[in-house]
Amino acid sequence: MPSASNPPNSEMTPTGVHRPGSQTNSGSEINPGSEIKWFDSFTKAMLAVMFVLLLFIFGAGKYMDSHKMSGGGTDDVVNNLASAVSHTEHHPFVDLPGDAQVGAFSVANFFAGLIVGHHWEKLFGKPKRDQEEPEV
Amino acid sequence: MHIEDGILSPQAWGAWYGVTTLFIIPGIREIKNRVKENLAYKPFLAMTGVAVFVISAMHLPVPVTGSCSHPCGTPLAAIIVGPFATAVISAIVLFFQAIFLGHGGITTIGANDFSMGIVGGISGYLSWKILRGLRSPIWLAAGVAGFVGDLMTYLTSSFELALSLHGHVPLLKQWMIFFMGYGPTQFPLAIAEAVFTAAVLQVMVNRRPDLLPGVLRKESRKEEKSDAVRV
Repeated sequence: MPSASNPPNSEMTPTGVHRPGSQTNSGSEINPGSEIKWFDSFTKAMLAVMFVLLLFIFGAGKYMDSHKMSGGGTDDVVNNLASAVSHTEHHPFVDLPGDAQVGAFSVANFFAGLIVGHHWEKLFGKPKRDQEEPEV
Repeated sequence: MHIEDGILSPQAWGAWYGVTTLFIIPGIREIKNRVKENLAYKPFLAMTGVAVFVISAMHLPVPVTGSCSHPCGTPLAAIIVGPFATAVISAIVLFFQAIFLGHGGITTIGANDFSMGIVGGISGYLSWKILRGLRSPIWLAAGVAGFVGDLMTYLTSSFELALSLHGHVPLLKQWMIFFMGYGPTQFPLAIAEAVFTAAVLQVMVNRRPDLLPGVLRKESRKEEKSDAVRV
């Protein structure tokens, strides 16, 4: 049931989800004559957001460093406070030493990004607009 | 809000597990029902679950207070997949964060899910519903939901700690002592969560409003049901 915003030849379910196997602009089939941009608008927007966030983190880190602030997590601050009140030791379920924590976060976020991107494409990927209709 | 193992007594964490289960059971029912009604629900559930996993582990520095904290993502999840379903995905997220990232604990999943998945999700969802009922624009309702849900999460987390550990100190005083550990850092992050929630929901609505039945219009669900029957 194509809506006004979708082309009539895109394969849609009653709720508007693309059926598995239906074609999208970023699907595996690419028109031989079509041009693929290095940076499409989505990539540009995401890179811009990422750089703004990274610059903010860098700036905040430099500021905290110059003012001798520890930059620790509030979870840790409050867990330490609670331990002091209760006279007990707190501990995470697993304690990752050194760079292992960075590794675990990177692996988790890499695959999380892939999964989000995969489902985002299923839900919000633009349907192929210039698919040729077979001549009758 | 990631309370670690060893802080809460077995009675306390057991009780929070019990309370959380009361929300997880209807959450599983909500997921089962909405999967039947809406074909887009499964990918939305997967996407929001993973997004909550990343967002609630994303520590951002706040230079004013000299410490780092993270947003929650559960207000956005509650708007998209429902408040009770958010309790379910939040419990799964907290489990994986505990066993793989050393974030939080296993005995405290009940308490942490109550603060982040249940109170954070439901308070955000209610803010969204009230403001949308007052015909507020989507970005404003979503932004307020993100802000309220974020702060409510940390208020609840400090309440959980205070309730268990206040001893002879008045509960309210101990609650505020714990909250002051979170609050100053969390306030700017709640504003960031408001902006993020508003932006993501507005983008989703702009691209495919038809995929968000129940979020935007009540009648959409009825239309969908009748479409599904016809198919």
